[in-house]
Amino acid sequence: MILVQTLVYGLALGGVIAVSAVGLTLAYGVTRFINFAFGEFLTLGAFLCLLFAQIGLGLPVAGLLAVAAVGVIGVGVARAFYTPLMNRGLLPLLVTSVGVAFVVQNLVRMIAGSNPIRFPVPLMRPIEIGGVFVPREQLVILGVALAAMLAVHLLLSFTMLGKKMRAVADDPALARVSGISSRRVLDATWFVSALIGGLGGILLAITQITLAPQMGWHFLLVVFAAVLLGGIGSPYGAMIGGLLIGLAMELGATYVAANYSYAFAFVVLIAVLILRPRGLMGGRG
Amino acid sequence: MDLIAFATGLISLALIYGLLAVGLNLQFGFAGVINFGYVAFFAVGAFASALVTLPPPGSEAYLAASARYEIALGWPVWSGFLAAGLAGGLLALFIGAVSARLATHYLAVATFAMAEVVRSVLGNETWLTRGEFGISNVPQPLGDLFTPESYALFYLALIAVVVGVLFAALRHLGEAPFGRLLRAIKDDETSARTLGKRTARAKLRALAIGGAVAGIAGALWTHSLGVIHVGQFVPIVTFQVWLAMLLGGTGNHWGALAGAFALIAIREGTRFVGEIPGLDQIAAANPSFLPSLRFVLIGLLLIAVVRFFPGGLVPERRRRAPAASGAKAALPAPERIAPAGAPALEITDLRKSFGGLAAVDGASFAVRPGSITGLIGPNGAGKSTVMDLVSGVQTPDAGAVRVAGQEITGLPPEAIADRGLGRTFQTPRLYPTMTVWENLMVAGMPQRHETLRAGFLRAAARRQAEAEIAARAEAVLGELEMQSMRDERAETLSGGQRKLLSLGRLMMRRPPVMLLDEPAAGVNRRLATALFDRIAELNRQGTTFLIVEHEMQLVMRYCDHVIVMHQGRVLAEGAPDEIRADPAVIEAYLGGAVA
Amino acid sequence: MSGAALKAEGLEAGYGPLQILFGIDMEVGPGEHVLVFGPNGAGKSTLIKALFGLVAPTAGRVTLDGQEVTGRAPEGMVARGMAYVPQVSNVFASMTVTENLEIGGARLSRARREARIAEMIELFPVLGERRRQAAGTLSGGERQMLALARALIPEPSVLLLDEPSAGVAPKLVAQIFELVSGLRRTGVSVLMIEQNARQALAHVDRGYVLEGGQVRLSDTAHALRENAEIGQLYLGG
Repeated sequence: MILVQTLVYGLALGGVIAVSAVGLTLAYGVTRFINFAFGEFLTLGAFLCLLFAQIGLGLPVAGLLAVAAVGVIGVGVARAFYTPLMNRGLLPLLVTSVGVAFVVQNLVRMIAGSNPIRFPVPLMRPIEIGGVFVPREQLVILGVALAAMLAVHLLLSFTMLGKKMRAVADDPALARVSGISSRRVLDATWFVSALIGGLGGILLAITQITLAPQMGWHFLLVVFAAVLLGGIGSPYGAMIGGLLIGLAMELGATYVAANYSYAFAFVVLIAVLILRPRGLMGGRG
Repeated sequence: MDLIAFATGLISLALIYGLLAVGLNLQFGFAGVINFGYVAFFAVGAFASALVTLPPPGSEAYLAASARYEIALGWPVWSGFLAAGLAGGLLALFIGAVSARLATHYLAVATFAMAEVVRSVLGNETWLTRGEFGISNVPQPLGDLFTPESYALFYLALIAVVVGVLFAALRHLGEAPFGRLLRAIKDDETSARTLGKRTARAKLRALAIGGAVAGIAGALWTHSLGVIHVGQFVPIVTFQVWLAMLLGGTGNHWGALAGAFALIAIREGTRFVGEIPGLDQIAAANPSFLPSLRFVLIGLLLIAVVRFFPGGLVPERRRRAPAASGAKAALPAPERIAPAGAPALEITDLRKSFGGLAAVDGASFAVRPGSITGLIGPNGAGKSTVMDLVSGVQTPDAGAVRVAGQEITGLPPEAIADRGLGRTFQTPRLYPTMTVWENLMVAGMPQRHETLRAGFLRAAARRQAEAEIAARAEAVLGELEMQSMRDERAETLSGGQRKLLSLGRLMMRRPPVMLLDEPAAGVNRRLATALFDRIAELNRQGTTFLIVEHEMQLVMRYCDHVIVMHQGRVLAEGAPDEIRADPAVIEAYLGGAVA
Repeated sequence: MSGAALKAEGLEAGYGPLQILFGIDMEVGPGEHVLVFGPNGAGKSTLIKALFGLVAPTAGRVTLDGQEVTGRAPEGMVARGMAYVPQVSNVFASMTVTENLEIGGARLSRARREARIAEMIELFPVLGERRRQAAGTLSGGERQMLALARALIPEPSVLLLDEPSAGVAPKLVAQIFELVSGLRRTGVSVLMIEQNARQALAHVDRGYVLEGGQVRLSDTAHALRENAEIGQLYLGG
């Protein structure tokens, strides 16, 4: 009984992690650096959604507007802060992204205050599956997460934009000499990455019921775990990694110690990295 | 609050951050380890020292403070400092050992994550740490001898002494062979390994020292505050230390210290944003407005420093070699390799593919001891890959490599270097930010003087070694006619000079077998001839050479034996004259029906 | 001489303080196949990179179909009708053959792209059989075909080939040159640099001998093959 419930919660949480991890890893694939400000896309997604809901829009509309806005913000942040540093090596980019994270997180706090805010999720009756009551929100989250991952899959496999993104991720130099304008692909990548992050943030807000300015920054760790587990730069790896981490966290919290659900994410991660230093789906290079 | 107390507090804080920045600088600025979890060492140090020194449960002081923690030892404060250093160092060793195999990104993320795990443990194990509530009666050393006002001054003096001693020690270490080795690793780890350096061990040591220093900083901090709780050790502490180090300029301990003072000044400066008219009303309505604004400013500062001041406030000072003593040591004779009968180097059916393309496809040859053997062939024939496979920079898919009859296939580069094999790279892999002289010194310095212990103890032996190696470096500079460039950073050298310097580094070590990858490419004709004359002279003294070279005149004149590679295999070998006349070789170069 | 498909006049280039090319004058006529060869370090790679905008020329002019394109970025060169096939790693290994070809046609309309891909598969039938296979699993020869096909999709007027036979098994080398020869059907002008010079000369119209960053000699392919002196340039004299 408990197991089924735990699995559902784990899958829902895993879905949230997986969606977010895909966003982070997409940007990594094209830009080759891990964006420590990615968690702030989640935070912004959740808070903007709340803002739009508060001015009277329905949750789905507010959510769509919010993720689109986060996408645009993502492009702006990348153009203003990351693109000028693209040729300066890894460390300046990493440190700058940390700086961006602090700026965004604290701007949100300046406006919204630091007290947790309740996210306006309509009450839904739990659904009964095989004698077990499962909250409907968890299923909605899982459904949206799966749909989002399907959308990413379709984007990467069937659209020209997605193929260009994969080409740049595969071999930036060859993409350039094949006539692909890396700037446009970069913009598109940041847009998609931030947008997915925004969506992950909304889903996270629904799972946690409350939002706080540091929610994305805290969740970032779990997202990192999923990304590394799957192998940096591999979207499908990130999906699997996300689901596994979500399950590990829920199972660990239920059966071992509730306080350590974050720590379980890293125990899994470190175990995998010791066995496979480049993650489950990570290739060479 | 009076100005002196205010200043005392700030200076104490700046010194503690300075110590943190110097420790991080040893890890990153010297060894190049990207540690985004630095606060963890600070945290365990603080808790270790607090728990070692707090009055034990049940004691009078414990009851008087109505404390709730469950473990404490009540030992003197100095033992707390030791425990703090130990805790920080051990945690660093553990993290280093787990993550040593990880590449840069993975390392940054793994350290960041581990710090969060440490914080999570400290937060959850309330029996040990009291978690978010914290412990409030952390003892202040010699606190009862002073009034609270004068105590701050005394404690500042204590901090200054501890930080001063550690700073001096770290600076000393940075300038010792150990520090030089770390900078070499940061510049080009693979190249350091091919010179026989145990780089993983050196990095681990740098990590551990940095961790221990952060642990001691944690002890200093917690005893000055008297209060400890897990909320003090959030990730932004790590990045403030990064900011301090970057502000000051990496690779430079004075810069790191100065950066910490700048950081604290800026941080305190941002306190005054609340006084700006208009903001005060917003601040009154929203208590988190002002603290958040300060973090926004710190974040913007971090971004601005990285973008606009990549060198930091105190740019790394140019290191100068000590004045030439005039003593030029004779270069050591190469060690002979036992057993005399075996080939100096032998490869058997060596294979390596990259993504399905065979770069080396069953190559076999032997290099006779005491010979100068040329390895030629068109571009893409697999010559440089053979060099990589032999020197351990890459691992062969199949086949065997033997040096003097001993199999070395698949060993790491440093182990192969120890077996007496030295190499240069086609594109020279020097330590670009180090001077010509330092490049030579790193290469020549024996491992036993590059240890931590040698950095502090055995000063006489180290100084003697330093003088010996320096004299050798003078001799090498003389031979390469590079004396005037001794204090130039390697990155400013021309292509030809880089070639020379990379040969010079091998001359410092004198391995019995040297592999040279296009030593004369980009070197002017006169110097190229001089260079090959040097090679011939070294060869007379017993060094065996395998040389990839395109300049046929040089190959024909200097090599005893020539091996021709084509399409990943050995196409022909023999004396230079035979090779020159071999139709298959001519075909390989000009293209033709090579079946 | 505005009839040339590609023309370089007084082209100079290098890396930082290191100058490699010292005033190169050369041209490729419409539909002409031209080989540039010479000893290692002669500047062949730098020349092809300077022509394509991968290395910024420090002096001189590059014209493509009469339009000056000196120093444009590679993506601009592709848009103006120049294509470049790098020496190694010239396919997107993680993507399928079809996807590689689609990337080549990223600037075309969907219908035009599909049509060009069909034409390329007609030109290189083996690619049709491998359509859904990841490019990383292709053999060396098949990769070169794919790289050529991808470069040809946007119908460039000039194709630059950087050592197409490098890293290819010996028995395939001849086949690669046959492939390049076969491109005459498409009317594209080809400028190729090659180590396998003698073999390549059998398949081109003209050749330039590069040494020390200068054109040392230029003649018809036939004359160059008969020239005994050329051998000396390689094995040193």
